[in-house]
Amino acid sequence: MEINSKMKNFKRFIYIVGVLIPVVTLAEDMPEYDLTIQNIFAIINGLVCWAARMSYLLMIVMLVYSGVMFFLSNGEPAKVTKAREGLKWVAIGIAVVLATYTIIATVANAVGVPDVSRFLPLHC
Amino acid sequence: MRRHIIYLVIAIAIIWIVPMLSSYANAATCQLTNITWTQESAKIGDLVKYKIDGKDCPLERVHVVVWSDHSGSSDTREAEFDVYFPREGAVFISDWRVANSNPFTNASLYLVADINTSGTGASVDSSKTGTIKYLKVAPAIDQNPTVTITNFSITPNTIPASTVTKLNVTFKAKVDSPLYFTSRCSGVQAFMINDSGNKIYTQAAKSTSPTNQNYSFDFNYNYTAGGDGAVNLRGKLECVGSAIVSMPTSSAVTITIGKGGGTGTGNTGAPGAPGTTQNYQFTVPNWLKGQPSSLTDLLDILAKWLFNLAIPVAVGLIIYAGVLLMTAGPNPANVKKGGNILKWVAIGLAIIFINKGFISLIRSVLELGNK
Repeated sequence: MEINSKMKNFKRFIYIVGVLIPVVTLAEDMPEYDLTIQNIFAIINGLVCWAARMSYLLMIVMLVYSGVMFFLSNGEPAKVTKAREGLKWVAIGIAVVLATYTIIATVANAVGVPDVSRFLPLHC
Repeated sequence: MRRHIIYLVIAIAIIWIVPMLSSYANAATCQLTNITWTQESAKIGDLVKYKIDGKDCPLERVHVVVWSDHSGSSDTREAEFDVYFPREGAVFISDWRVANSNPFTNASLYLVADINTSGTGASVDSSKTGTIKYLKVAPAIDQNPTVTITNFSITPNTIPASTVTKLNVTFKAKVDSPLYFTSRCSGVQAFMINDSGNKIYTQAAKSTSPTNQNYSFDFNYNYTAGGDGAVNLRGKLECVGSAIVSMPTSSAVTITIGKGGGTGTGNTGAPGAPGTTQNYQFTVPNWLKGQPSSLTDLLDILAKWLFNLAIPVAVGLIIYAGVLLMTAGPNPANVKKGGNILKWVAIGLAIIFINKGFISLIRSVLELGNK
């Protein structure tokens, strides 16, 4: 038990060192760089852009998946209904992802924000 | 089935033809709406950018003339050239190099553009409608600005010994080419130094501007005098930013203390009056950018913060909700979760969009009694 926890601590240490070594070496090569709050906004922006791209991939995967479900249903009514239900939600999900900016713009318009194009869409 | 195919073909035909027709119908004449510089000053040899706005102008040729403004006498034509609008968009940004010739030194340049061919669009003039009307041209980089101290004087120049006396210091300086001076020094700081060269007074730095030639650093200084004698005070300037510009030190002003340093005989003076209560004034600088001075200003900053964060976060959450809905087929519990996220994102966004509106709303509710 004791050995086990020691091993755990050692592993933790190795992880931390392993993460820090590249950071430290990078920091030496990097020119002086001021991290500001604008950079953090930009990082969040980048993460969201990445999520958007991944969701576009997922759309295709889910469409193919629901297609395969239709194949595998073999015409059995219960399975066909299930596959159809799945396809319906895939379609709704795709609509939501593609209409992201429309949703935000609609909300903005409803409460009377004058110029939506000032902050929409995000620059990816 | 066949009917469906026919409908589809008709729909596609409409989708293709309508934009084509409308593009013919839209072949309106190009109208220039505005022209402006994108920067306020430049040195000779710099590449400067300008922007032309126009309506219905893709691929249209625009004739641009750079004029030099001689206030009073007639303006001169310094350069002219033709540029073309891009295929897409109504905004055109192009650049022009300030030629290395004499007439440009310290000149104010403005732009006039018109459509060359039919002359249907009226010309636009940056000096009339531009957001940055004039481009100030600074001399080339090898010309150094000269800073001279035009006035450094102190009153009174005779003060009693062993007391604190308030000195009124007049300190004025002049710069020969302010535009170039600005490019070297972001600010000027004034000091007063004593016999041994120590800075006994430091004036808050004044920021330089491309048009301001004269700087005034007048201040009051409470001088603690020692015994009888004399002290030499000088004014000194320093450049904030870089030390390339050599800054002058004024000639000495002699302050005589008490009976002076000379030997002589005379009656002992009457004893000095007792010290009086003195008031000191000092200010704490507001280090928040944008100089918020009230609680609502501070709320503004907070609102801007929330807003900047909220937009990307909202986009991310909506995408997450979409993904949850997409994967609802194999995992039906996601339908409710995704729907809920969508609902609350919409509510949250509405609150953040309204932000300042709430303040005015509450204020209007409270003030209703007055109307």
